[in-house]
Amino acid sequence: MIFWPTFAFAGMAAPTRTPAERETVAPVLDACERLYRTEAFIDFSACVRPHLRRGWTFTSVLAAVRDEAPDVLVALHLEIKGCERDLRERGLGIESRLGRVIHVAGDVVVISGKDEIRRRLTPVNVRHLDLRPDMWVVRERVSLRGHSGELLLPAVAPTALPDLPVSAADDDLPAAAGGEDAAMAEPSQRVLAVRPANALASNLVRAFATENVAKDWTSMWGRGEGRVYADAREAMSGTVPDDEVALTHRRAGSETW
Amino acid sequence: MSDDFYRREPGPLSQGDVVLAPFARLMAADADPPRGMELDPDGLRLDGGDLPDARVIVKLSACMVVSHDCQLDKEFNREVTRLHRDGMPVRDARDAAEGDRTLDRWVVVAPILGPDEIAADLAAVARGDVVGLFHLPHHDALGGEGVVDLAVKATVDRLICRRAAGLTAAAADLMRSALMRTDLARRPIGLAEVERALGTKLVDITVDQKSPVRATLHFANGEALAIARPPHAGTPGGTARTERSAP
Repeated sequence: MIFWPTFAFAGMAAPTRTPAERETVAPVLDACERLYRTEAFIDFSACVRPHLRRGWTFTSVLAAVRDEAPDVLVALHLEIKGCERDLRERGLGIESRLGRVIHVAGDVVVISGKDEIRRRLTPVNVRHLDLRPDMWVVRERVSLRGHSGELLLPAVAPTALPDLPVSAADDDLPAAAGGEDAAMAEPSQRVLAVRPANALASNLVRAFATENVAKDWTSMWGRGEGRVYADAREAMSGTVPDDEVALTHRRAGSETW
Repeated sequence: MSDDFYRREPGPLSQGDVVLAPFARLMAADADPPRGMELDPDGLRLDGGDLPDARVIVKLSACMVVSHDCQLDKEFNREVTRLHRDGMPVRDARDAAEGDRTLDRWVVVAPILGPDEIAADLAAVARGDVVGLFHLPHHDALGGEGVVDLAVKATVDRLICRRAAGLTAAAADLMRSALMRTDLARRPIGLAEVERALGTKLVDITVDQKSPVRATLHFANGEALAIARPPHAGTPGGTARTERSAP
């Protein structure tokens, strides 16, 4: 389910400096105008507006609308799909693939998709997104008369709207429920209470709860300079040109690395 | 809390770090629980198919990381190398790999028991005389002394652990030695016996990187002795289990 219509993004991003460019984009802008007059979009706007408070994010608004009015999202989705069908006949290409964010580092986003475990992307709109690990996203490749680009759009989990009809354009999307991706989206309902094994474990639980263990210690991820190869560390300090770095897979001073 | 034993700076996750983690054991579903372990009525029962059904026992446990440091960063190092070879500056490659929480997820840990949970004498464990157990002096977060049961290990996801403490380099070496005795060679190398026999002091040991069972002993008199020490397979004799022990 797409939150914002891809072709609207494409219309905003496409150049319109020359008459030829404006003619190229015209059908997209027409489609946007048509969409924004539909009852589905007006209902959707009414649902979204109260949530556009200070500090809003795509995620927060999406979650709120999904919870309050899933039928409105379905109706908008169908309108958008109708517009996309019309535009496809007029030369606009949109390839959609659903995926899940693994991690974000600057302009690089790594997602997992249905047929690919990891894919690194540099979407044009990454700076405007509040992407976080585990979020569902739609990866859109838009092409229009020789121009193309990749967008990443927040999406809801495929299981969140089980009544959503799967159109021909959604062939890449996983089945709404019961599939492998659905299993990823829904946590197991069988929950086993895990109790402390002994007094030491209870003391540790208490120490974390009362923040008697410094936050630096609780991190299981920070690798620090100790794990960066000696040559790489020199390169980062500017003493060795980056291109000449030889990565040795060996921690400085360790014969067993 | 001993500064000689527990380090002050967290640094990267390392072998010997103390973490809180869910520790799971699999046991036969229909058998009596092991001695000293109560059966959790809510435990998960697994359909074993052709094998006997199993039950999962999970407890939140203080644990020690026993994975080697290079294993803890293996995928991270590969990713940094790959990104750098693809043209990304090393600093950015490191940042990107650092942010990738799919890397190096599996960590092998051993549970930490309380002094009252072991059958052995705590003083003997503290001296390093008991194979399979490693003594931890008092740590504030643990609230007392502990004993790592190196003979029992589990693989956990790094995402579900929280770290509380770590060992100094010297203490980590002691732990590695205890781990080696548990898993590979029950008897430590009799260095004192070697020195007595040769009439000179041992000054260094170097290990062949390609074949860790090959080592060279360097002595004060300038002599060097190359040795190959296969893991000890146990002493014949004494009481042994029969073939019934593997149903």
